[in-house]
Amino acid sequence: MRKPPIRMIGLALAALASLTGGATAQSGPRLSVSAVASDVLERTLTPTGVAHHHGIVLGGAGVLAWGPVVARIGYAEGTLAADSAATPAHDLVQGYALIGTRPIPGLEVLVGPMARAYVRGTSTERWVLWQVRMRYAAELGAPWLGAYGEVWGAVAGTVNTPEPFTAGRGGTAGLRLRLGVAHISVDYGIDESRVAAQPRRETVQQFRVAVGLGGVEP
Amino acid sequence: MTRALLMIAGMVVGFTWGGRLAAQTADAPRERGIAAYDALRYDSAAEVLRHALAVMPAARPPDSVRAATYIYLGAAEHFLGRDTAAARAFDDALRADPRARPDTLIFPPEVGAAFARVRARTSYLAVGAPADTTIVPDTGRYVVRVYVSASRHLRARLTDAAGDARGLYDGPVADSLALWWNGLDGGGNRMTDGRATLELTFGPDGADSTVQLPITLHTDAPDRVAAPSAPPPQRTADGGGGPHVGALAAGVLAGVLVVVLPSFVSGSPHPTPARFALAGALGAAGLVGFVGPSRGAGAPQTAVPTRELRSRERDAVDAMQSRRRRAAPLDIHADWGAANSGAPR
Repeated sequence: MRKPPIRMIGLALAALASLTGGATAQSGPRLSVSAVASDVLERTLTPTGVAHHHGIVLGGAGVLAWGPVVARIGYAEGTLAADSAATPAHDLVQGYALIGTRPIPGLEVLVGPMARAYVRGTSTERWVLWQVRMRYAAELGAPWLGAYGEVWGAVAGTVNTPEPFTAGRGGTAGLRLRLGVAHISVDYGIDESRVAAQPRRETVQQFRVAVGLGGVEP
Repeated sequence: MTRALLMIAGMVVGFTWGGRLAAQTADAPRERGIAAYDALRYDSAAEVLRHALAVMPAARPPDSVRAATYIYLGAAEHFLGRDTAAARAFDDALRADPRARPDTLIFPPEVGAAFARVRARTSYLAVGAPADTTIVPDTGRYVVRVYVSASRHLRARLTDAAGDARGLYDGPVADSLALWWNGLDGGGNRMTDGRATLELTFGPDGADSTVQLPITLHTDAPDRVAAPSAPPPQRTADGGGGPHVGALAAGVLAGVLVVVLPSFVSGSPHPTPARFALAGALGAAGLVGFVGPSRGAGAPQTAVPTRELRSRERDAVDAMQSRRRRAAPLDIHADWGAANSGAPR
């Protein structure tokens, strides 16, 4: 199985960091909270076939930055409808809690768990991935306009299926507008989680729009 | 040998005696005229003194010797009953030296009174100033002495080659006055190098006389301070590519990341094509940052662009050069040969 070149994406983010520079770390604690709406496209590959689900997921996110330390949390849930009538809809619940540091302005290195649950009728498939995430944000020539990108890889994970967790990775890239203390961001993210032995993957694409308040990069 | 020494001695004696004889000859008419006046031979005194004035070498005012000779002549004419000639002689005395006054120990009061009557009608002006001097503008002083024949109104002005004028004095003067100029114009700036004119207008309204003295101004310019050399390219947080290029690159890179993420993350992603819209928006945002006014993509707010730093350094050098030039010595040369002494209208 070809390993996705996460390292290459990490290098790309490093190149982005080297070209732009990021926000300067500040001394006091700063908080940012956002309301998030995501258009989710889920693709499930199982031994029996492929299923697609689509829906809107709503939630929120928060960022706390204090000096070089940064913490990010997020939660969202919604119902995803199937593209075919033969496949039932299910609920999606996801959340994450990451903590990390900013070694250089604009760059964050975070670790922490991300949990995602697919509620299908009476059964719930839960994935817990321990992520190492690298995120870089930069202004695009003006403080009110910025871009960000992140990649993550799962260093460990669990799933409540007979098959053990194998790998997980993902990435996001987006655009941020800052209007005073308010900010709006639009981004695209994709992640994939796998289990061993049988071909089973959960690929989730999300178009997210977040609106929030705060003085820290969202 | 003896003959040669005798010849040399004779030449020395001859030159010495000849020089003294020439001096005596030049002064002889004046002294004979004064001696005739003292002996009360006024007719002879007047004739000899007129001859003495005719052969006396001309000198620019104030010429006290010529003025004193005219006073003797005027006194002689006065005692001969020729008041008109006496008045003309007294007038000529004041023209030669506005400070001239009959010595009260030599001339009786009636001569002094006649002289004073003439003096009251005159408006003669003499100027005394260094021919060559150097001053430091603002702290130094170029002194011009003005001598007048009678109490009148004086206006003194200095005009440079560019037409900038500096008023030096505008007011009454009774006998003499020392004007000073600090080398600056009315605005406190240095005057333009080159030709300037000191103009003094003196007299009652409607009958002013003007003296114009050309002077030459020259600044001994200090060595020019070299402009700062271009600083080495600053490696800012954007990696030295420049803030504008960094913004464009960041936007394009983020857009590319959106496009290629599915390929990197998933082996069979079936990515949504809608992500291309976001990729386009990121590229456009990068373009906005590239073409718009920028503080540097991601640069700290305290960073100063290299161009602005260089401009500040250049301004500082220019200001220092201006201060040095302002303090540079000013050479002033008065062209007495071209001085113009105007007659009363």
